[in-house]
Amino acid sequence: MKPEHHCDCLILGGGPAGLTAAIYAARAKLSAVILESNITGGLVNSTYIVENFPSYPSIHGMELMRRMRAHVDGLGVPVEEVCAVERLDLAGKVKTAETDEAVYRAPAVILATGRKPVALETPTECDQVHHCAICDGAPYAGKRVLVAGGGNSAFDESLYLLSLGVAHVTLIEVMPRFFAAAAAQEALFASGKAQGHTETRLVDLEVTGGRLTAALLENTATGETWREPVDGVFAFLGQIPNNALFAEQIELTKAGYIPAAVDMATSLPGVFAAGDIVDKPFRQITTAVADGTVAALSAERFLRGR
Amino acid sequence: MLQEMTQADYRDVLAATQAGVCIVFKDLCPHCANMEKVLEKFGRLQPGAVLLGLDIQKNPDAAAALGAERAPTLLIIRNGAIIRKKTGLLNPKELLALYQEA
Ligand SMILES: Cc1cc2nc3c(=O)[nH]c(=O)nc-3n(C[C@H](O)[C@H](O)[C@H](O)COP(=O)(O)OP(=O)(O)OC[C@H]3O[C@@H](n4cnc5c(N)ncnc54)[C@H](O)[C@@H]3O)c2cc1C
Repeated sequence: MKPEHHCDCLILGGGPAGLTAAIYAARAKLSAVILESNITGGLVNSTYIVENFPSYPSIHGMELMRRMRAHVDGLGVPVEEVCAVERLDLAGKVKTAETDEAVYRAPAVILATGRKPVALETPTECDQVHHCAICDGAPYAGKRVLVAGGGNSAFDESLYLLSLGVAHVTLIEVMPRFFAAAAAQEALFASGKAQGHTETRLVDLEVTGGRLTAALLENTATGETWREPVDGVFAFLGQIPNNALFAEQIELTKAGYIPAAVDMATSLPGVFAAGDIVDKPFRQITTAVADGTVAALSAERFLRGR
Repeated sequence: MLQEMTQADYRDVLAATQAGVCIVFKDLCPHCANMEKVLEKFGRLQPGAVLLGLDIQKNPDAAAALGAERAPTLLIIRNGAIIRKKTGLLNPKELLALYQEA
């Protein structure tokens, strides 16, 4: 028999949204527990430098999240890391999460599981592969980058990279055509600083002295391969919401995000959502932190009003 | 929790280890931090296993001598020798299985 724990509020996911929710829950004197499948910090852990979180003009992502975690620890909220949630039952008045080690029960749950980028698979790995132009684009001013993906985000982010002063963008799409809106395609190619290749895949990365020097590309229709000198790669192959645990239990958008109300309520009473898993236009640390705040305060109101 | 080895003592520490796991890690590497937590859980499931760590940035020559080019790399040790190597992420159950099959 696994040990059972009861609390007021279960928080799934320990990224910026979940950690902030924990801080507000603790300040509201709710007992809360964070269940995290990996380590706390979420996507920010793999962000080299965060330069848009107020109070830290520039901070390493992991360092920022260590500080957020220390804040949570200081308030005494238990955090279970590397914890596999094997079953989640959100129906009824008391919700249950069963992990590999214990069973947790609570009348309120905050879903803050975020999302994960579709990985760029190459035989060689390097630190110059990114998934966020807002976040990681600035150091590439005056340099050449490869953008993988041919959808709206690949084109929008390429335009954004050029606006940051990136010297040249080589954009590749494995399918026979680009899928982005025509206006975005026109704008990018009219810049004179971008070249697009369809039916093209990234075969490998050339790394010299720990730094990316070139991408090895292949035209899948003709079999032709070539070496494209680049300083960085931005992959916009899409993001996948981490919704597998509750996809069958609450309402989701077609794309798999949670359509939360302004108070972060979901389609189930007592279940709130926060952060990147929510259906919204801008996904940043500050917006995740804001959602975590609202979700915890709403959970408190829900619990007090029962 | 982890016994950290250095360039100076890694040979002796490994040679004296009957059964254990060593993680080759790097500071500010989220996957390494994850694997350190996995090792802690693994340690509870397999209390007899010695848990070792080697910082690849502080001890590059030792890491290279152990054939660990990237962090995190896990080395399974039996009778003072490395008998299995695995790079990347594992969950505690996968690590236990790897350790038991090795
Ligand atoms: C490469 C990159 C760089 C970025 N840089 C910046 C930046 O500089 N500035 C900025 O403001 N934003 C940046 N962002 C965006 C920012 O990281 C996200 O908006 C923010 O992390 C969202 O926080 P979150 O808590 O909602 O989700 P996440 O950070 O994704 O955290 C979700 C957490 O939930 C956990 N989880 C998932 N599934 C489960 C489960 N089943 N059970 C338990 N736990 C689970 C995950 O392991 C993760 O820790 C960047 C994003 C990327 C990809």
